[in-house]
Amino acid sequence: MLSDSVSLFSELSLPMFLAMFWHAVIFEIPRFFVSVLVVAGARCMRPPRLQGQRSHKISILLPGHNEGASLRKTVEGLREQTLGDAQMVVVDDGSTDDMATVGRQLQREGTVQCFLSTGLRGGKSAAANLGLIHTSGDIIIIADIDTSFDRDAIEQIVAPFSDPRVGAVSGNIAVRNKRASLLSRFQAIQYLQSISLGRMVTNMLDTVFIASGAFAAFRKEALVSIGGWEVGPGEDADITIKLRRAGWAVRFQPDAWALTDVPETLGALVRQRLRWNRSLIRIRVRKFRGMFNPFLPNFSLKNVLGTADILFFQALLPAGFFVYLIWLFGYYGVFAWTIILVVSMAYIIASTVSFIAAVSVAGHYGDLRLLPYVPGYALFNAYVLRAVSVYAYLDELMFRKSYQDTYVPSRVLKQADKF
Amino acid sequence: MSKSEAVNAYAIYETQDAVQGAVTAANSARPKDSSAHAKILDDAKILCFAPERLAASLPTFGRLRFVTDRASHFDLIIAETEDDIGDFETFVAQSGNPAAPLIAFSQDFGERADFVLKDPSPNALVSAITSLLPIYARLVELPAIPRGVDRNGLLALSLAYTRERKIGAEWRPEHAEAIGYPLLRGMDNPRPVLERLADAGLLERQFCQRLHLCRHCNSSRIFAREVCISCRSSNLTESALVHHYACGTQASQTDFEQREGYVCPKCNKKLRHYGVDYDKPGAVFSCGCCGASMAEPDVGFTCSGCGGYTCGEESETRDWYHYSLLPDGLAALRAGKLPRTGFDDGQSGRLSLRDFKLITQSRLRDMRRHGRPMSVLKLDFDTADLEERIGRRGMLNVCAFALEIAVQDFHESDVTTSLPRGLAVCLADTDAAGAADVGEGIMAKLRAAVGVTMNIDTKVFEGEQIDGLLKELCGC
Repeated sequence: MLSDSVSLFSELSLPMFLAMFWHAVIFEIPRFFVSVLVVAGARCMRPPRLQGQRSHKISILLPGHNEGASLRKTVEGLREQTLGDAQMVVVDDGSTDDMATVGRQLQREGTVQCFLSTGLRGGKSAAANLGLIHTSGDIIIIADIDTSFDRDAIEQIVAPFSDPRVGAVSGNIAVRNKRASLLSRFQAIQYLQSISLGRMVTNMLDTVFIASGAFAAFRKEALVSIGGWEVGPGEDADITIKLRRAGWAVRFQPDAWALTDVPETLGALVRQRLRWNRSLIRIRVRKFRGMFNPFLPNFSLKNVLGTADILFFQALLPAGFFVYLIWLFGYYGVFAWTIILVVSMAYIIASTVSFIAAVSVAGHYGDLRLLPYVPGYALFNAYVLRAVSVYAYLDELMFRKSYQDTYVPSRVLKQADKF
Repeated sequence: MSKSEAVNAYAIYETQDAVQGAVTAANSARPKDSSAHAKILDDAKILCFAPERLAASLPTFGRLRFVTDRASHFDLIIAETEDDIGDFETFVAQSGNPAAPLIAFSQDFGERADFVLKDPSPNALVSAITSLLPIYARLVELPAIPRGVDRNGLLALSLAYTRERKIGAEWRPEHAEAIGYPLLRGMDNPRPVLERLADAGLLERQFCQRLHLCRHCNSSRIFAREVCISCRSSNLTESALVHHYACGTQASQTDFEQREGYVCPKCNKKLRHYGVDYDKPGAVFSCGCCGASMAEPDVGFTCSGCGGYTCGEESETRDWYHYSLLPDGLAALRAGKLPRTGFDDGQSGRLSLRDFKLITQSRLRDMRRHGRPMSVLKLDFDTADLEERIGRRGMLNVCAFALEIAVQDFHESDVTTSLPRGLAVCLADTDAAGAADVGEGIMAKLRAAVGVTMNIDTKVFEGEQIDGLLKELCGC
């Protein structure tokens, strides 16, 4: 059987090969190799690290719900930044834990300049909008309270604002709890590939379409001009698109590192990914579908390409993969298993190359310890996470499940604009 | 007729028969088996806190006599005017019969007045005396209250027993502590005395109040204020928050207010229905002085005495109790001495173990939360060795003297408590090294001041060791 398979593959003509592996040819080869090789080449000529401008007045906005346990540590970590003197604004979004007590104490100690608290949870966007009113900086950095930062993260993330066209900068995010479980190791690999490496590609192409809610910086003038954050989930993608459509440039700053905890169990991971993927449909397919209309006044080819890139690789690729699998079994029968094996091995090789490139451009060589987990991650990503994505897309397209997400209180979601 | 004139009139009352008649009537009404009753009516000496001009004219009615010499023996006290209060308090501290019944002509003596004489006539006085017979009867069955370390404790027990009432705490706004014990009028700093008696199982506590203290001077006469967290100004403005669900705008209510009602400043939609279009999830306070915004103002206290500010969450508290006599207390009273727990006289300003534990725990919390240094220094006297060399009485005197020397080195913010064989002091804002220096300073001072060689063990506690020490001292 094995020898028959080897002899069959060796006798394949190029058209036959392309027909058999069309999914990889259309989606995977550009995804893994083109981007990896382009970025790796560019990083070989790595430009010097940027220096943050002390002339910027910076406000750090930390909205959160039930973050009493991590608030003090995060705030104290931010006070260790090389670019000091930032105004710190913390908004407690109707917490039921001791976040209000901790926040008030931090304000009393002078570590936090402004602490606001709502008695009722209104969602991250509402909390961020409230905090925005009380910020005094011309650069607003928003971060999740359970995020921690490299000492020069703030200095690095504000550096691109020396370009007056820049309205937002997304920070680089890595996994803090990568040793917690096998799944957290997989996610650490994925963050390196999709954020550290993937956003570097979009940054080079000027198609950065997400300023991560966990760590991003905004020019206040830009934020105010677009009316702040819209109701979530997916408010970070939403605000990035709004900024781009308003004509502001969005950058990714690979040297501005933040660490965040990722879900450690399969259930939590699936719930998180369902939310993320539903938002993709709600925001990019429904809410901003007008972006593809060339007759609208703020039409931009770059915005179309950026959105198409996201939809192509994040929606069509996983959906196409399962169409490909069905086609394989329909066309080749049992032999499809052999092809899947070959495809899987190709994934593992591509993922390994991609991972090594990501580690090298990130400069986090310690992450090479994750190398033994890359094959597992490649298969998990290909078969499990893609299945979750496809399920989320169908779910959102058919049932608008994002409007039932508990990430935002239901009374708020019910009144939010429907797309 | 003024009260002075009334006393005067009484003092020069010539129709002694009327008084004698009243006394006879009272005698006939008293229980036949009460020898104490007979004694007071037959041979009572009434110490009169009257102006000097009256002293010469004070008469004698049969065997009922007025005296003004405060050093002489007396059975009752009559205090005349408000001016006598301070005089009375000084006197009680030194008197040979500090628990004697008191007849007052005004309410100013509070609970310590056993009878307030509103009608200053001879008959009224006699009926007042008659009403005090039960107190007198209890007093005479007790041993005299000696001078010395047990005096205040025994006086407190005696007053509780003879007056058949609890030693009640009452508001005393004119005092820094804000609460006092009217029954113990004249006793300097009665709280530590009562706490020690309660710790020893002689009195039973009943909770009365928990008062916050000024962290600078320990006064309870402090005013609660809402102030800005940043600059402590009370120039604060509260503004309700409005959350517009549809677009996620959340801002001050004033930002939404327009002539036609609430209009969202971001999307210009009119907010019609509370709970459907919008809600008000809280409020924001803004400081008119420094411009800071905050979720809640700081609640703190400004001391009316020293003007110092104490943050509400960091303020220490003091619990005040009413105290009732327990059987062991009565036994101690009848024995004429208190069970010995140490050599502290209870008038030194040292805290009871219970209060010491509360304040030390509060400071421990401060230390853990804000990193403020603190430590506890414990002095342990080798009392056995000292007693063997100079006898028990000598040991007690030397140790009491040594304690007084030791506490001179402490700051006002340091709190002390007496231990069976020494002293523990909670040193505020002092780390372990600083506490060790304080300990060495005390030892040097004692070597110079105390003639007898004393073996004293000094030990410094910090951090979790303090928890262990408190557990060991308080047994919980």
